Amino acid sequence: MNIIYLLVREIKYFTNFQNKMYQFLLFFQPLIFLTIVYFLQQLRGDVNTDRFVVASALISMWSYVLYSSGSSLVSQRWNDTLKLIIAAPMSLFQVIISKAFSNSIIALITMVLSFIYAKFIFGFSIHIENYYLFYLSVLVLIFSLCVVGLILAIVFASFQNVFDYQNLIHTPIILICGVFIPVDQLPAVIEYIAYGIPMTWGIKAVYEAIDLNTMMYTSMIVSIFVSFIYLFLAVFIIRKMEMVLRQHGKWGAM
Amino acid sequence: MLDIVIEVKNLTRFYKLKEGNKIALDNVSFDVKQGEVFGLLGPNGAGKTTTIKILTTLLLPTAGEAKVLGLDVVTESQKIRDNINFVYGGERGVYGRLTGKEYMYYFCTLYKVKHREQQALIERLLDLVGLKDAENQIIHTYSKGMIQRLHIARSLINEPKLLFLDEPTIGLDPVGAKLLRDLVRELSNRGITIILTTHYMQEADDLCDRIAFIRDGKISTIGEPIQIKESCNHLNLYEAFMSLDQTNALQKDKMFKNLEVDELKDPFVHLKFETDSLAETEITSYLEQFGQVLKLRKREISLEDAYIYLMKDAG
Repeated sequence: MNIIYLLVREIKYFTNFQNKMYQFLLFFQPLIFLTIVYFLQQLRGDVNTDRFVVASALISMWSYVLYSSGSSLVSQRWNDTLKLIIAAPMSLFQVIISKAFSNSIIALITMVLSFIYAKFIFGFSIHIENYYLFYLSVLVLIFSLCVVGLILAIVFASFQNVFDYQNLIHTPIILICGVFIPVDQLPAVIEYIAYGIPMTWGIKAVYEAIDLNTMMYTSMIVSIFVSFIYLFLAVFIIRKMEMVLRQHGKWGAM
Repeated sequence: MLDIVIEVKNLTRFYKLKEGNKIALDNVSFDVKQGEVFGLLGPNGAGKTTTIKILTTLLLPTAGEAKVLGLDVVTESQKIRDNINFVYGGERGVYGRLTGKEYMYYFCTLYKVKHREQQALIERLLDLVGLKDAENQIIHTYSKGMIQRLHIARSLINEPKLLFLDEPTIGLDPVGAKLLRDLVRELSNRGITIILTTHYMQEADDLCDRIAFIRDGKISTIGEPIQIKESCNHLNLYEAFMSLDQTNALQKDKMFKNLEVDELKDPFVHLKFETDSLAETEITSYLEQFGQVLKLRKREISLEDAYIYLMKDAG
């Protein structure tokens, strides 16, 4: 029950809509992508707008999760609040996952906005065969974004110049995870890497849910399975991290 | 006989550096009794914060043993954390965009305080530290003193039996520092054992029941402030008020040890110094060669005098 309260407090207290970058990612970036889609459609006429509306939402969702969850632990270091959190009875894992989950939920705003912009500003007609299955696939995607955010928070915790590294992986992940190009059309090595990322399966499930492709259930199950592997990995790494911190007393040891 | 709540035996801690191991704590042993205010005093890098980090279970010792409330700091850290809390000095450790009340709610959740009890607890604690009127102000607008008091309120969320205060008054103005000292006294009166590190000797003298001087990772002296001061009673410390004719000549003179000259309104000065064996009449007649002695008296040993003397000795 405490984790639910923590999640609510994370959303309420730490979602920073005043941050200009987050404002751009959540509210304006989908608008820019949808404008491009609009002109593409005007030029070519045969653009799959459903897929591109979802793609523009996915890019903004990923961007928000990357920058918010990715910085969540390092910002605690900068604030000097990390030791207060580590010393509290709530485990560090619970604290970080509540941050990652809260950021993934907030990222959902951009998905909703993308559909609103697409329908009411650009006049796209959206064809989703079964909304319940689509919502379900989005939930699976949110879970996968959450665990990826959790891993990013841990990985980036030790970096001082965290934003440089975030910029470095931003676009490659969009390309690898099949936002624009289906993963099976990528070179074999990259394909293997892509299938190791839970988001790839979540994104695949969302696209398949739009078309009611029967493979969507498999994609959802695999996404949840891979996400859980990441989750267990995160539990292990965080425990190890706490131990290393206690042994060495400084982040440099990480 | 009071119960021992902290038991430290031969505690040692190395830090691995590129240029080799640095000893932060070297076979330190001491204990703290229940309800005491125990002061750890020493220069920067002496090992005070390392000691506190180990006792708050944030750092593992390299060797030796430390028990807090009878629990081992290495193997029973979680149980210890449930019963202690800490405050580090300075303005950091807060979320500036939150209000004081939101900050407290967040930490209540981290400390697993029952949801229905949180509001009453927060009101009580913010009232105790004098921040009730500022509870809805964002922390960015708080003064240093208010942030420190908020830290104290945060540290009381889990009703700790032991509270570690690491330089809590650092950077505070005199009023803010006094408010904080009053708060520490109030907490001590409530039966909370307090471990305090500070650079301010007067503060340590006012607040602490016992004090340990630590230098280069070793405890050099331990005892009640009065005992420590009495151990330096052999020092002949004097102060004098003079109307000086030859300031430079006095400052260059080697007769007195640790001579400090505070210039008041010209030509008056306030002197502090130490002598080995001169009597008051001899001191007066010696000083007369530099000007007129208005007042001379033997000074009572302060904790600062004892600290300077004993730490110099330890070095």
